[in-house]
Amino acid sequence: MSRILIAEDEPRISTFIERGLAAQGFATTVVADGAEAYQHARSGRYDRLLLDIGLPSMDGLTVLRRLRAEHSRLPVILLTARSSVTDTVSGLESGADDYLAKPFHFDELVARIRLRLRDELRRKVGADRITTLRGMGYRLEALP
Amino acid sequence: MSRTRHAWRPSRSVRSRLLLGVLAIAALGLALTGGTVLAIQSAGIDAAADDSLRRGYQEFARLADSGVDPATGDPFTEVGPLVIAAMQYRVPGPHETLFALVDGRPYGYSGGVRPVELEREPTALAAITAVPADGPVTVREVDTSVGAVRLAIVPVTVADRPEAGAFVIAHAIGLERQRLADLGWLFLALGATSLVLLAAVGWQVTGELVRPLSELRQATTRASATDLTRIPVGGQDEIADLTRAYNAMLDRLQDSFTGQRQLLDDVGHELRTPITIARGHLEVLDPTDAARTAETKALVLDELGRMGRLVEDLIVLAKARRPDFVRPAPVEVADLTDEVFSKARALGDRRWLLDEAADAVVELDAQRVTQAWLQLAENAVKFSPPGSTIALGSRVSGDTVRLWVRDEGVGIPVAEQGRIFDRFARVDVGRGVEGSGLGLTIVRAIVDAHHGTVSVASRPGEGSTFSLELPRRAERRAPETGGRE
Repeated sequence: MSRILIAEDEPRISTFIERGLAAQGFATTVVADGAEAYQHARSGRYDRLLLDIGLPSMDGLTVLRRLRAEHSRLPVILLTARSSVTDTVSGLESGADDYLAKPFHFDELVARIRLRLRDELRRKVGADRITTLRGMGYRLEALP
Repeated sequence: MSRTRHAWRPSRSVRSRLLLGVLAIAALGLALTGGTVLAIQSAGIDAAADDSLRRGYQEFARLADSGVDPATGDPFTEVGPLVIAAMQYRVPGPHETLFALVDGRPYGYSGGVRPVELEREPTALAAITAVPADGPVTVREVDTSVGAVRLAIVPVTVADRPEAGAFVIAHAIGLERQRLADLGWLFLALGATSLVLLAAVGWQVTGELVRPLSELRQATTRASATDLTRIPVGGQDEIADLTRAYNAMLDRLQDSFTGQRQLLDDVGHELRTPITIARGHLEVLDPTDAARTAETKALVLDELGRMGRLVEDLIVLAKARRPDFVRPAPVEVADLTDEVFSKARALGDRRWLLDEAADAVVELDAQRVTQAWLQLAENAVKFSPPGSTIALGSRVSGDTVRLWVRDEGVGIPVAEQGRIFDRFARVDVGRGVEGSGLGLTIVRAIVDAHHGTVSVASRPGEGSTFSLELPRRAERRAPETGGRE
């Protein structure tokens, strides 16, 4: 089961996201604060982070930049209520994998979460193959 | 292409009209001067010629009447000696020559330079012979090879002699006219040259004058919400003033545009949150779950209510820009205070106190001031625990009336106190607290419309006091037009 961290300070928004994702079979954790989101995200217990940009104590972009500075590869989907291009650009430049503007369709949110998961799965499978090949190489070299 | 022609137009109208006007006046002046001088000179030439001819034949008449040769004292007995004596007697003037015919044949000339040789001029000879021997002195103008020649023809006879002679004074008036005409042409050439020079210099000068106007016009054509390029100002003349005024206008427009864009962005943000909530909750709703459905319905209606209030508040703020936003009228402050106090009590379960009520009449818009005052009371309820004290009061001091709301709520951090009157600037207590984020903005708009001030004194954890300070007498200032003076 995939674990999703939801960082959103508006409880009425996090409630329905949590409720909807649970119905889709995801395990969710909600935090309403930037610093808390950062602490949870770097714990490595989550597969995905839904990150609101406007968070108290530390805004979403700062959380994202800190995570990326620490080489965290946790896939991040940004949520924002601002439509300006500068927000989109700075979000993607800060290392976001995807971007969703409020108000969004819940189905789209789910689709994007699944898309990210599939990407990651593919990457993992690829990495496994490389490991196998490398292993064979060693074996070949080891042969006289 | 059409753009280029368009840009050219102001020069054509102002520059060319100015230049053509100046040139027309200059040309008229030159033509009048030259024409007058030429006419006077021309008339003078004719008059001088006639004068000279008249003196000539009058002298001849005196000599002929005396009948005696002044050199010898002998009487004239023949025509020949008479005309010879007359020629010796008279020195011809400039452009003049004397000539005599006897019986139709050239008889003699005066000495010196002869402007015209009359015996080789058939038109002159014909004119002379046409005058009868017993006729009067005749003045004729004939065309010759040297131009017009004016002749005074004096028929000469001597008593008892058969021969008939003619004494002729010829004035080559054509030569003088020619010289005058040459002068005229010279004047014309000089005049035309100076007009061309004037046109060239004038074109440059007017070009310099209208160039800033042309730039200004191009800039105004270009100017839009996205391009508010300022024009560089040069010089100290009226056009520089106009340019400066135009740039100042652009500054104000830019402020206004920036404000509008910011407002749209803010409003978009504020509307997106309730829409996100309402849509999200409806999308994840399982309609078979009756309890969840009822909960979602309440929540969606609440969010719609929030959007409705936001729209209402935005409309109030939009109206605040109109000059008739407030209509001040004399109001009893004590009555107003009592009224607001009784309305405020319904806002929540608090210990409501009336600090004091001023006994005075002031000019204000009672409805708007009530709205602002109640907004402050509403905020006090929002940010204070049930049962705590909220006090209202009013006091007149000098020319102002102070209306306040005092609470014992959470207070406002000092850092936040400056920006709480800004649009959508909520002090961070979460969105659980109701409001559009425009309440204090509306309060400030109402106070501004009364030319008053709104202020806050607050200590975190101890409470806040919001005060409205309004002038007692409504200032009937003209609505701001953006003028600087």
